[in-house]
Amino acid sequence: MSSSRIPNADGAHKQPQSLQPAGNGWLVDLLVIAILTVCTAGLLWVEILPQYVVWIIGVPFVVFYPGYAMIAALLPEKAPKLQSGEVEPSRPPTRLSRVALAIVISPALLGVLAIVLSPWNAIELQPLLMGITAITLAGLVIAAVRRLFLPPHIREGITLAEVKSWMQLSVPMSSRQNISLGLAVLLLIGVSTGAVMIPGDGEAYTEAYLLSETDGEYLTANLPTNVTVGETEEFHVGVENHENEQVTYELVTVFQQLDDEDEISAQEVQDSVSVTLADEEQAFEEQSFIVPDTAGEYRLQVFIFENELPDEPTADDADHVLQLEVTVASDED
Amino acid sequence: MSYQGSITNLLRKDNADIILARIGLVACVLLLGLRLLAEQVLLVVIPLAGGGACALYLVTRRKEAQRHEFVALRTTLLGYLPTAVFLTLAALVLSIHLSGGRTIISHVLTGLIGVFLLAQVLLTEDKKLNPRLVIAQLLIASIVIRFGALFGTPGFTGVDIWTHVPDYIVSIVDMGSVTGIAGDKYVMAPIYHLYGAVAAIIFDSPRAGMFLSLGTILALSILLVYSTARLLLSARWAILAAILFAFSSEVLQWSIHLIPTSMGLVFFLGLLFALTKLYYTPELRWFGLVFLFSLAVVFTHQVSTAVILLALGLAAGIAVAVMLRTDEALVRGRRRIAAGLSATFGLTTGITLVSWANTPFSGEFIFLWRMLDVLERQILGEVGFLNLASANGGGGGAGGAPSEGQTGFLGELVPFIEWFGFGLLLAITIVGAMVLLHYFDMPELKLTYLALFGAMFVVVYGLSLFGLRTFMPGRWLAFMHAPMAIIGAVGLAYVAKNAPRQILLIVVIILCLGYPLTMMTAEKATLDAPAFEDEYPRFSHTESEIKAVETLSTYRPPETEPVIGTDHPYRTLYERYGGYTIPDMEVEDGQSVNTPTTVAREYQLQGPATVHQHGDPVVPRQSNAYLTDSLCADVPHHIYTSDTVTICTTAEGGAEI
Repeated sequence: MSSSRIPNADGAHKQPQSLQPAGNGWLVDLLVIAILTVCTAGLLWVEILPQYVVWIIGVPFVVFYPGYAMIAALLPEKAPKLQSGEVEPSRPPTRLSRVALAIVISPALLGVLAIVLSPWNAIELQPLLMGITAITLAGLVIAAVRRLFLPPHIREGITLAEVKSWMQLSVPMSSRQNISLGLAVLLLIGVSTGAVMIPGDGEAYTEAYLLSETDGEYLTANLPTNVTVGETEEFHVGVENHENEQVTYELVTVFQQLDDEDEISAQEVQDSVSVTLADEEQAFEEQSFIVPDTAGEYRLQVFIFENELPDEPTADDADHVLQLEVTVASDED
Repeated sequence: MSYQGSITNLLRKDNADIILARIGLVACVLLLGLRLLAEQVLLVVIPLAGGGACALYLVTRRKEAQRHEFVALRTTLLGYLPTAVFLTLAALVLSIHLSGGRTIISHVLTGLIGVFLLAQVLLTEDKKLNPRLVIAQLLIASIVIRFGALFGTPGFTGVDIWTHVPDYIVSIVDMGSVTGIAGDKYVMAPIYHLYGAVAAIIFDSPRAGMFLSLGTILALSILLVYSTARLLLSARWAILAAILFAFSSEVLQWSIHLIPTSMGLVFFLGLLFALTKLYYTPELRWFGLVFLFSLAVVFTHQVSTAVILLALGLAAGIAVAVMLRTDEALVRGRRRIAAGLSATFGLTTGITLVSWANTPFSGEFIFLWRMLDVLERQILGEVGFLNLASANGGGGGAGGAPSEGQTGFLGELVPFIEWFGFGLLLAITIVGAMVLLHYFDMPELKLTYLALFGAMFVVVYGLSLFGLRTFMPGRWLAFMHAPMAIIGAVGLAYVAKNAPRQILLIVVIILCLGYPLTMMTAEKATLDAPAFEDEYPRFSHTESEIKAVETLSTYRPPETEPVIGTDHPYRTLYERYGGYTIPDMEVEDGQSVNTPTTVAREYQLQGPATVHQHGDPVVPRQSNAYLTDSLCADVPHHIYTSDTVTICTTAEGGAEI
């Protein structure tokens, strides 16, 4: 197709390898995929496997097997084994190309399967497992029949020699380079396994929020911002621990009088509570305050301290602060 | 073959490629003048890349008669490059694990992996290059890099995915039916969501399901680029195409922001392989696969459908044109190709039109009529020369912030670093285009590739030059990078074989170091943790930021219609994940003036999120340049706090929360 200046001509053009019959190997890949598909479907059906096992066996089940079955049915001829310099676009696709096509076709097949199940509201685990298995097995049966009707020497199949050749990934250089490569691969496997098995703690933080309670339902609404002198008002503080460890929270509710420049002129502790929460635990703590006798603008603050309560709690020392500006009206109002 | 017509005859002459290269060189110099009319980095990058490519081709072509063997370095150090790849991968995993996500260190490590891979392909002599080993490294690297970004980020990266997965896919899973997305435009293009639902059920988690299914497919789809390139090139250059594609910032973007565009891209790669294969073996099964992938795209994503319709239309048109100009002796095979592609194009177009005419849009419109209406309005109202608001529209809701970040030399340099990798890819693509034109025999194939690249380039940059962005050009970039990577590999293979040694070494060194390092630190490749954090906002969210949305939607659900304001992109999380309707927050004197409830987060003071400065007109500002204190500092009621997020309100009793 091209002259020697053309890029594909940088290696020696060799004659295509002789096509050797795969012997009984022409069924091997189909049987392996069939067995893996059925076993995976069975294991997923019982829903007792640990998550990481589901991940490992589930990925090829939804990404590869259905597509492989279809591509095997579509391409029953033997995949050529090209030398690195050979360019043979007219020959059937290589095995790597078939794997690539299988991976891309799988989502289309499973999408169609889900469309078929949709009218019966059957996009659920068991129908999906049966459907994926049926699609895959059907493709494999068609592939087997199509291969059977081909002459043995052009029939797709996998020989033991081929499997061995796939494993030859080493650098064709010195043994020192091969050893370093092996160690690096082992290091990557070790680090990756460690990262998966020992997940990081994640972000450490605490949430706190003001709530009102009505009939057992908590909402961030109807908070006591307009109150009358002398009354006792209640509200709730929600606290959630995401610190990756147990934390004792000290909640202190203070009522503050403000001067003309919005600076605190007086402060009175109205309520306090201590609550210990395990990681990912939540608590709703009721707090109350007695409205002062003098009408005016006040500030209610809830200081939240983690693990240690100072002698004189202030907003600056607190780990978290919630606040409401409170308007106090006199009785006559 | 008998070609007629003056242009065709011109191109058939032996020096037609040289004439084209010279014209290109002059045109690129003239194009540089556009920079005087508009501040757009691409107006520098594209002419420089094009001009450099034409010059490189001319030099290489002139020295062609003195061509030599492939210039490979004979040093034992090259044999340790696979070791370097795996060691860097291990360091990358460790870095992400220890930092709890990707950082600038992991971006540089990712780029280095690309450097080591490219060096193996470009510097190792034939007898020491083991293609299977390089492919294995590339696949493992692709998986580790993508999964590191996916699983290292809390929730999801990007904007749109927060609708697709937690809303649409979860609705399908809950109802067991596609009626879970009834009323949305995706009800007529549901394959992505249905596949996501299947995976969510199998893996018992929508997030893990999406990552392990489509995430894996995206990571492995580079095999299709290799396979397609392998139909044209030897293993070395096919691997180069795969590396160029795998380390493209746009491709990495859609590999970590997994939305229907991502699946459309994968099907497009399948289509490209089948299309290329059928030119050599025009068998029914390859036409069938082209049609299958076309249908898959039509029922997955509307923008991707536009891409494949363009590809099929060009392929069919070129096949017909070539058939009409071909000798009788060769016409039979070409008639089959022309007829098959025309039928596939016609059928796909028909199915697309019927599908779009029945696709609901925004509840009250029909998708097809709505898009035609938008196109008409854009052409009549907004289109104008150098209307360059953004040449990157439709990037999955991941547009950059207004530029108020890094100033000085580095600030000026960042856009050029951003586009350096693309410039290199463009340059070798242009070289490859001329090589294809001059040396390759199969006219349907080479003209289809060239026309496809040219047409996509026009859609992305040409139409954007006039402000026409109906086709969401930002979504086309990753698709365009597939033919670019393949054509570019053709170009580099030619340069490697024919260019003078010194020039070749310069090209190889620039490509090896420049391409992966700039691509992997570009904005689109680092949406989750921008490498240039003063320039581009973070399109991922911390655990506490995501939890704040969940907590608020629990204790003040969207049904109560609170009016909430916060920065972009954080507001998109409240809209898409929380279900709130949120206006653009306008800020004056450090406080929102149009939203009674405000969500302040630490990131607003650290990163370039977008807030709007109140006034006439309202001006978008970078939050870290505009805000000096928390948006809640002077707001009376602070009703929610975590270590990074504060929610405050001016409304009494928290009634507007």
